[in-house]
Amino acid sequence: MKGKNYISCNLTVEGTVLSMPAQLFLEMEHQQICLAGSVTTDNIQLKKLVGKISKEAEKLLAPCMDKLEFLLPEKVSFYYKTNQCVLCFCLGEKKVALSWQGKEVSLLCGIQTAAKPKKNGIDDYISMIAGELGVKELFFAFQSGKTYGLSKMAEYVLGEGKKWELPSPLLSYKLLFYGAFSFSQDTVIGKALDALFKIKNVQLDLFVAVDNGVMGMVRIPMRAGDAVKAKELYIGLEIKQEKVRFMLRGSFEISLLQGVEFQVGCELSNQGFFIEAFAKMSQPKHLFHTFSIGDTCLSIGYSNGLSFQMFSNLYMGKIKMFGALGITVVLEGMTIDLLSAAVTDVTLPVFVESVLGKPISGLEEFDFIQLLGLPFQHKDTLPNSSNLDKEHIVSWFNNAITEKSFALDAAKVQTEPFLDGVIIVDKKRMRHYFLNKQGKVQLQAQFYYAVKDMSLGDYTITKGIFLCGTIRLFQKIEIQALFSLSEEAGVIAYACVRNFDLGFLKISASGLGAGKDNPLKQLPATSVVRQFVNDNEKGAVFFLRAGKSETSFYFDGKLVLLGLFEMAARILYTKGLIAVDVRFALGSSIWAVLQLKANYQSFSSGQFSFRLVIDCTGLEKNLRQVQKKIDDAINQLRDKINSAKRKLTEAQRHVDELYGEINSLDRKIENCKNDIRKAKWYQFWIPIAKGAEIAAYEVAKVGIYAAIGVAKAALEVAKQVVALGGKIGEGVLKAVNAAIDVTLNLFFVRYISLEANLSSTTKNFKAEIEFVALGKTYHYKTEIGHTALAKDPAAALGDNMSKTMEGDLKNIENGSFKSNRRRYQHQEYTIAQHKERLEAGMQQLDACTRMMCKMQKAYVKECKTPMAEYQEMNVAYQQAVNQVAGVLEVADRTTDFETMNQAVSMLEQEMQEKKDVVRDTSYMPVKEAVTDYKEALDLLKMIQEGMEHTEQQAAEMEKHSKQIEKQEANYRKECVKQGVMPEGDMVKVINNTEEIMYQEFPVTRNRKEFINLSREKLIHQYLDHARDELQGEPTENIKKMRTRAVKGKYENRL
Amino acid sequence: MENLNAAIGLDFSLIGTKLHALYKKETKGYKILLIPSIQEECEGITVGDLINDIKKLSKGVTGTEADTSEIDNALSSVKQEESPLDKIKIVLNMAYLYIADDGEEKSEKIMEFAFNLNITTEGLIPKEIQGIVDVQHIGIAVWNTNRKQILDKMTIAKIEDYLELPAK
Repeated sequence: MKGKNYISCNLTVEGTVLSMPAQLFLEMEHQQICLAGSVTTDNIQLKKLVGKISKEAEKLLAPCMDKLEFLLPEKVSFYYKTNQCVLCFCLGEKKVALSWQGKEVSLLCGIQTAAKPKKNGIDDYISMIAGELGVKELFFAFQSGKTYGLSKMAEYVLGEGKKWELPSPLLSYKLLFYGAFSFSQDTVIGKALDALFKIKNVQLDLFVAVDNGVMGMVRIPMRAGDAVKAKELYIGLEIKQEKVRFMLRGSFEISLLQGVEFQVGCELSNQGFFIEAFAKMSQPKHLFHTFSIGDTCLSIGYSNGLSFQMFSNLYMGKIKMFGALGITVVLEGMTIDLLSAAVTDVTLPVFVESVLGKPISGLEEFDFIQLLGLPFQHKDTLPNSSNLDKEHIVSWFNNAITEKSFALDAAKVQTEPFLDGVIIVDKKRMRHYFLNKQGKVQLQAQFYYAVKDMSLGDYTITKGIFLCGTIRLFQKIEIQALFSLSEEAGVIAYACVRNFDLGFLKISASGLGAGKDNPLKQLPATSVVRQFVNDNEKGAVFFLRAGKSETSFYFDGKLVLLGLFEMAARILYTKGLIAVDVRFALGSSIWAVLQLKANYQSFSSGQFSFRLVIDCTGLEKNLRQVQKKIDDAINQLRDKINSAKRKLTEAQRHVDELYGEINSLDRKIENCKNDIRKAKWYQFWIPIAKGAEIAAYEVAKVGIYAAIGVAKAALEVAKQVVALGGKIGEGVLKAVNAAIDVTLNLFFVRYISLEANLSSTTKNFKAEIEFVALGKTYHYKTEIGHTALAKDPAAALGDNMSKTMEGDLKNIENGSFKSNRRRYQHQEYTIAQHKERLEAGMQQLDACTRMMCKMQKAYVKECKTPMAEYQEMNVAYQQAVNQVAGVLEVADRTTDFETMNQAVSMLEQEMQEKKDVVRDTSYMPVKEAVTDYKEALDLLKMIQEGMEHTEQQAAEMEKHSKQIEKQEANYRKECVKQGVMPEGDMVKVINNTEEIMYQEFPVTRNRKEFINLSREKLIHQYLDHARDELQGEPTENIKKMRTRAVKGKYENRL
Repeated sequence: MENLNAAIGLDFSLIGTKLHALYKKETKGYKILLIPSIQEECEGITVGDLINDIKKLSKGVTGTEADTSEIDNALSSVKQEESPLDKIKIVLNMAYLYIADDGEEKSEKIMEFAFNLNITTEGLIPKEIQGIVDVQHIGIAVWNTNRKQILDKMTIAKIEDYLELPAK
């Protein structure tokens, strides 16, 4: 059952105790118990009261009963609630209240004076004298703690409806006397005042406080005048430790400025002076145009230096600004004591409208910068939002927040309706909030810096720093920040850059670590930052808390520059535990990962791992030192190779090593397949894009075979020339020799990997390199000790590699070196087949590029925004296309074709000149080799054209990416103009994508060496799954394509 | 078929206080409301009258009077000229009950209530101890509602009404 979640009850009992009227009251509400009671003696005589209890006691105490009569109060009351007890006695004209809470005790005694004593007690004479002097009421107060519990007792002692408003300078004193003077003409002083100054019926309050010093203060209730109306005026004098201080405080209203209250404070002592003027306005006062001014305060003082402080509220159309400044000028120069500013949400159109006083249409499109507040993310909104009562707002706010350092005190809060919301000012912390019409609250963009505790106007200023706000740029980049520094809470810093992508710069969450989500969501509700974390938005996050009770640090973010340089980090430090994940990547070929998990106090339990991988496939990077050794070795080898045949065989082996590249491409194809498996159902375009990438790598494989084919044809010519031996002239042999030198020097690095594993027990580093030289794949894997690495890391790595290579280099020198030929499995093709395959490969590449572009354009057209991963997809595809260009470029380098062409033309000329060539069968192989070589040159030409073609494809992709960005920007502008974000029909997008795929990859196409995306079952499954989830149906054409009969069995790749 | 809705209203008097009750049956759930109707001067009812009424009611229903001898015996020790039961007067200041069930299993049912009873006990305490302690009046209030109109009608005693102490 739902009702109030607690039950309230109260019990009242009225009766008599010893015939004296008594009341007892017990109440339980809001799960708090309140107990109160009273007994009224009703002028009963003490003698009679004792007699009611015991007649014997009455007889025994009879002689002293009359003297003890004054001890019997007229009424005794008690009150208990939330650990505070109040006990009140009413002794004739005297009222005494005693309050205690924990160790703090307060006492308040009030005496109503009378001109004539009723009895002859000493206090009665005091009353009489006080009365003669004009003291209407006399009070004595004492407190042991820091605050008087007087305000609660005062109502009892002062009487109903009266409040004790003590001047603040008195609050620190322990002993206090307060007299309310009324100098009417029937008192001595009243008569004197009348006689001397003709002043009649003067009333004033006099305070005397005693502790370490003495303070006297007079409160003069001023009479309302015509021009100036003074509310209350305090004049005080304090003598404390040889310091004398004179003070004056009061508030005035000037009839010419209705609704403005001026509060004036002035202090003058032998140490310095202080003057403060505070204009408190019920409504902002219009200045000019769209400008108005609100509460303003100015304070000037001199103590250790000349100090100047002020604050003001300025209204400019739809913007409210607050500013506060405090400076001290001393001999050494000027120091800033206080600097604070706050502003409501500012956007460019709002700013212009506020300045000009009217909106400018079309300016919304240029809204490239916004300064906004920091919204609280709690789900609660202000209930009964029409009730903008201060207490109601404060009560709701305090319940909604989860961190007490933001709790508001209704007495120190000012609320002010502004635009369609309410500005809330926490005067205790000089902090500014805004409650919007939806009932959501946010911290205004603000800055606060104070170097000392002070007060200014009705603000309390505490030493510390606070700033917060949100900056939004180009509607895309959003940066939130909060920083707080105080003695009590220590340092709290929070910053969040929401995910954004400017094309050349991209910032997002790191995506590292076990929890891919923002871990700040896991923070306890009581955490300061938790209140500002939006669970639905992601971005780079920084958080620091360093205080007496807690120290924690967190960073998570990723930066991608120009789509090439990438830096991602996730660092978490809390309760002495530290976890670090860092990833660095340059393009897709070089990346490094650092992971650390450790107990900060005891690193013995820590684990550290580091891995750096540099994938150098397709690059041509020389390891200079190593290459120099290889070059030297090659030179020595060349000298050792006496026979040209042996040299040719070695060159042949070098060419064969290119087959190793096919393994490398297969690995990349596997990576693409893995990426497809990771794709979510709604990323139905990922399998298609990755499929296109696979297609490009398959074309690269065809290119490798073609490159080998060309190189082999050249080598065959050389082989046959050498076989003819003395029948051919020396010039031809020299030219052939020079051409195959290039093949021998074929050198490229596949990858370099550096890996470190560090813990308390193991410290080692692993280095790996794989490169192709001398027609052999070198794979070195070495482990280096911690000491050697620490001493000279470069030498440790270099020496290790040199040592490992030493054996082979020596073998080269002595001629016994063997390359690992025919290690790779491969297919054999004729030059004609190479040409046909390469031509088909180029068509495949064209189809892939067209499909990628069409697919993305179809998405943008429907959804008015590009698909989330389009840039990554394009970059990856471009890299695959570049890979094709890379391998084709290798073909051009396998032999020195220019020299080889010279050799062939010299050979042909020589053969023409020799008459016996036609009949001599020994020339037949060389003739066939030359014919094949010429055909291979056609293939080489195709390869060179293919290189240009692939470069064009890469350029086309780049152009396409820019077009997509431009389209997106146009659509965004359109959306802003119309004020709506249209949602696309995703089923339509899926169907369009599939139809594009069928256009570019006809289902009838079936080549063994190339993927046909239209026939891949996994792609069909992804598209169907996405359609099912969105409850969509495929088009008739798609159904037809799926069921269309095709010749030949297709082998699924994915 | 059309949905069935029905409402039954009832005005009656309980411990001298006029009350209005309403039962409303809705398509799925039901609502019960009990509130005081416009009050004339309510003087309450004495315990003696209450017992007599119970006796009469019992006789009307069962044919025999209810056995109240235990209550009579318990009070015989303090019997004076006038029966103490006639001195204990009960006034029902407020009886409010609201139950709402919308018939949905998952939704919470609402139950709000407020009762305020004043008991005048003058003369109940035996004269022998009246000199030491005497209780003339007891007020008991129990509520779990936040409805201001109901709480206002309850005239719940406030601490400041009773004692000249600071307001809570």
